[in-house]
Amino acid sequence: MSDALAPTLPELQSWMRWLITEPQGVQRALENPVHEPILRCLPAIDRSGSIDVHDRLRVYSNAYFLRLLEVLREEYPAIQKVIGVESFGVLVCDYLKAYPSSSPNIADLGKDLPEFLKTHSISQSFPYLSDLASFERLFLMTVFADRAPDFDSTQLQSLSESEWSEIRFVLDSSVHFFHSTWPVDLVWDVRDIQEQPVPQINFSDRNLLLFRDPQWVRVRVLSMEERVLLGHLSEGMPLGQACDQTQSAFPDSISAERIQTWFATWIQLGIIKGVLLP
Amino acid sequence: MSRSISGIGLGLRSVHYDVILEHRPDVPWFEIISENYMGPQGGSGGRPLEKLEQIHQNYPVVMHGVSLNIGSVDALNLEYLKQLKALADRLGAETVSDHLCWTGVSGQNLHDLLPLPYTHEALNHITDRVQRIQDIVKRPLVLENVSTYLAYTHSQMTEWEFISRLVEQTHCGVLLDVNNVYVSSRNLNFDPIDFLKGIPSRAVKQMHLAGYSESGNILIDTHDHPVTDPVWALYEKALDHFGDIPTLIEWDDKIPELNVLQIETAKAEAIRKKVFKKEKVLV
Repeated sequence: MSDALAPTLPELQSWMRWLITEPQGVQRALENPVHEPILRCLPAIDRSGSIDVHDRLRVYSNAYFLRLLEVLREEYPAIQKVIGVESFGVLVCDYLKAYPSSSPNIADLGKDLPEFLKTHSISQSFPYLSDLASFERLFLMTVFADRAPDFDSTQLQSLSESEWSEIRFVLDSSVHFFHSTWPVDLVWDVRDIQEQPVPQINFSDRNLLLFRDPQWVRVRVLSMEERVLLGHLSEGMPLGQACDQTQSAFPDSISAERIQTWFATWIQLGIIKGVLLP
Repeated sequence: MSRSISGIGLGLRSVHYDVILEHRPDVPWFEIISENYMGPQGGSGGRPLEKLEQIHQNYPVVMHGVSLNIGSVDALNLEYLKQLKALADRLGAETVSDHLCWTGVSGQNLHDLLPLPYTHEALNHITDRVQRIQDIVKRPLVLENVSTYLAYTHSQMTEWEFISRLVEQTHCGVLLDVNNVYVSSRNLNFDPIDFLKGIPSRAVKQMHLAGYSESGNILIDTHDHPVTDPVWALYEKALDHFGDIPTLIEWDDKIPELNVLQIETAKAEAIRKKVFKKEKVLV
């Protein structure tokens, strides 16, 4: 190719991007170049040797789709379990067209899938899909959340009653709350169990807590009462006020014993990581 | 904590964190994929970074990235470089490495190592960017040759001439991926020895070894197999030519147990011993 006809670096890269990401594949894209950038760069690809030029380009095109499919499959195993491998591939294809990756970090690739699923036709058959995807995304974010050192709860033993009322608790920075109107965790629980079918789930409020322990991410189902109290504490409300407000909201189901049990569990699980004394 | 490396290292992958921490296998150093420890959506490194820092207490760790996008005509991603520098500072890394390629354009990341045309235009573009990156990350940049499946008719020089000129103009280092040299030589029909001879010896800071797959008559750099015999043979020649360069075994897909990787490191070590024993005899 003469220098005068050679594509510039921006032209070449723009053309390669178009060709590699065309969902119809290299061959059909080149035969029917509806969206091809004005400058055709195919003559810039060396045709010498025994390998067909389309085969050479197809390596990149296939790798693009398969790599990103694999990343999303790892992040959203429950979504794939629900809709099946084939439909998941179609979904990913649609998603990549709507939300092409713009981040150098491949872990960002799936961040918009929950939003995308809200309007995707597949959600008509599975109305909880967007919520399930939100949960799986939050799980990933929890893996990447930092975890504070363990809390020495013996410092609580010397507190007076009035101090108890005024203390504020610091929750671990990996703690995330999740609310859905579907118990999506029941679907998520079977994501890796091939022989177990996806359970039918019914419309009902579900509160979940995600946090990291030293090994991995833990998921805990919260009652509404526990969710409200923990929510108040996570916002920095003093303990006395948080308990009073929770008791007002649920006068028939809150007791001192129940609250004590929750605290013991939260400390044992590493959900509480510090106290701010008055 | 900055520790120099030697011998045959392994790519650190999350499936091996626990076995490494529990059993402290005899591996002289690990290489990480930098982006795996940066955290999504600009967040923190979380569990992966926590595990890495525990492992780093016992092993030297070097940083290798996949998203520098040095060959792209897009502007450098300063936020990414800031995160890269922060991680390098945290690990006390002496250098950062990535690939001599482009990975995206027009704001879209394709997450693949795409080939450059070896033109003066591309050389000037990348020369400028290497210097700017080194200024930002405050440490030398080391660039790896990628596996290629196509060549451009308007290239004005060979890949090794391109690398050689880039080294001359920027003083960047070279990460010589021996498997990639072999894969590209088969796909593009050149003599891999010409490649080795064309790279300035003093610039080679590290070597990589990995396995490829065959798809029809194309070799594909899949990193999911043991290193093949022709690549071992080329590695022996590379050691002979460049000297005792720290070498990494990479395995990124269908990742086996750590002991399978250690079989690969033992093979590399045996070749290393063979080459340098021969040298002593000659001296």
